Amino acid sequence: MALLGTVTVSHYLAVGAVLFVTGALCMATKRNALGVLMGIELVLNGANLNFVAFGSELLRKDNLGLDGSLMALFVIVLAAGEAAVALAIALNFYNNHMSIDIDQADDLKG
Amino acid sequence: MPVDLETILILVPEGALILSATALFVLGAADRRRSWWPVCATLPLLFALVMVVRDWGRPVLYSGPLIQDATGDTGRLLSVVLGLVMVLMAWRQTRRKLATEFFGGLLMVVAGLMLVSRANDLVFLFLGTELVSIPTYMLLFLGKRNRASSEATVKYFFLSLLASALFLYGVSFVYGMSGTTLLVGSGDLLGIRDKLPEIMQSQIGGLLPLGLVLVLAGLGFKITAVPFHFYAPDVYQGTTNVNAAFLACAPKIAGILALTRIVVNVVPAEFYLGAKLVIVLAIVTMTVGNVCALWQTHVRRLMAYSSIAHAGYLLIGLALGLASASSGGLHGLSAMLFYLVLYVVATLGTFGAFAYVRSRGEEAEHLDDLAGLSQTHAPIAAMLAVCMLSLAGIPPLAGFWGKLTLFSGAVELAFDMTHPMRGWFAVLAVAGALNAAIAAAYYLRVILVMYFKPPHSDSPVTADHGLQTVVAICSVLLVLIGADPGRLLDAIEPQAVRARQVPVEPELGMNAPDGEQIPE
Repeated sequence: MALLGTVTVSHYLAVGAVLFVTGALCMATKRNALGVLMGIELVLNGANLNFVAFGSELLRKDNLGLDGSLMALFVIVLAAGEAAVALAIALNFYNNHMSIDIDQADDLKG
Repeated sequence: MPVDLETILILVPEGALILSATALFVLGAADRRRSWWPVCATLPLLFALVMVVRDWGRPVLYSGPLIQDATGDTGRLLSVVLGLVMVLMAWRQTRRKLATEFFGGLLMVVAGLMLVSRANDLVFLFLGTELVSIPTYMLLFLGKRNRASSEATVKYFFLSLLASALFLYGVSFVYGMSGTTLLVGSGDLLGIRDKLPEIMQSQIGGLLPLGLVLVLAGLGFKITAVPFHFYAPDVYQGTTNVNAAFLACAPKIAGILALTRIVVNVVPAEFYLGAKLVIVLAIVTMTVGNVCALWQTHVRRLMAYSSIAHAGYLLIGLALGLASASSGGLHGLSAMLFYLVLYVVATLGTFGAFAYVRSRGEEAEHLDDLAGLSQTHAPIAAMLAVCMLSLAGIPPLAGFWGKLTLFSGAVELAFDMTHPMRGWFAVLAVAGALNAAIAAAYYLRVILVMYFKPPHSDSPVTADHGLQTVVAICSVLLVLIGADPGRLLDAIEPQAVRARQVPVEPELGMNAPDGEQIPE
């Protein structure tokens, strides 16, 4: 219980940073387009966690406390919209390449 | 945050655009012929244009998350004009079947750009940039359905999302340091700008530069600054000329406007680390863009590297703004906005001309497709030459004045004996001048191909009057601005200064942050 009692904003920030880095690595290494999309969700949620933690009463008592949560809500809506566009784009890519392996996206260079 | 009737009323043009875009999406599905939808897209844009012109030059107003000032006015006018020009360009270039989706997406982007240009809140800023990004993916997707196009869309989509996430992560730190997302407060509400001195003294203030660097990285993608540039050549090559014109302009406008807002309001007075970073980025960006453009033979790849190089020039203005924020000298930022306007006009004209030229029934792809254009379509060749010369910065044309205002700002700081970064700006000015010389080579090569190579036997005309009009308007504008640059520069000049002055006016009940001198 002592551990739970000392949770501060920096703990949330650390988890957020881990999520962010994991997501970025996932985007850099995954070959499957859907895997990359999952990486994006992780990255966005890492940022979201930051917003909620910074907006919480743990950091400052005097704030209205809604800005951070509001931003997090907007980001969740945005991530849903992006997922919808992503599926259309991945489907189009599949129709042209017969695969969603984005390593195959190497025709254009010069 | 307070949202009153006033705030809602000044959002009428943006709201009208979003509503008409939704109507286009829904009603377009019911109409199979879809021949008169471009007209339906033009009407809300014209309405927005009238509203923007009517609001022009109104007194500065801070209304919660929105701000009404000259930067906002300039940005809104530029976005609406971009929308109208894009409708003209796409009128006959889009496939009939996809017309409503294309024009609906375009209206959304224009609304997003208008929101970014007057955002006074980080939430608004983020949502505005996303309202630009998401329809952009859609427009790319609608361009062509072949292999190259789908690859371009996937590349742009994933990299743009990563950039948005970086921007968001940076914004979260800025929010955390200040406890508010409001940039400039009004009344009892304090904004980030009002809390800056307090933040810099607090223990956690060290995280603010981290947040700002992440924000710069996220927006650097939108303006194709090195090292976030590598998608641009591939994406431009893979899509259509009309889409490439759009990609070269809309995200850049959004990125530059957002950077202006952030630099004016969120950056601490002595943020030399940021200025040094931006100077290095500017030099690398323009050098990479110009040197790589030298051996390109694909017209859209050439223009992609050209747009990267121009991002480098734009960053000079940002560096000037960052380095002289303490002295209130924000003409660096207004030089940046001036340059942005000129770049947008010249780029739209260039891509309009490329879209006009057909070769063997296909869109112009290679530089050779332009061979002998001066004999087959003399007016278009002349107007394309004007755009090229303006992009190169040849004296009588508008582009020259854009480069002159940016470089002279850098030179001014380089000769300012008291400025701690004068060495950096001396290097920047020299690098800029060298780059302008390199850039002339590839722009002139396009003109050489048009005028001195024999034409192909088959270079049919598209007979697209929309494209002709666009190219004509752009080249005439470049000549006119070149003849009288002071008029446009004056229209842009006072805004940045005004934006900085207002929050410290006494009647707003705020104290000037420490260590800041307010310009007269």
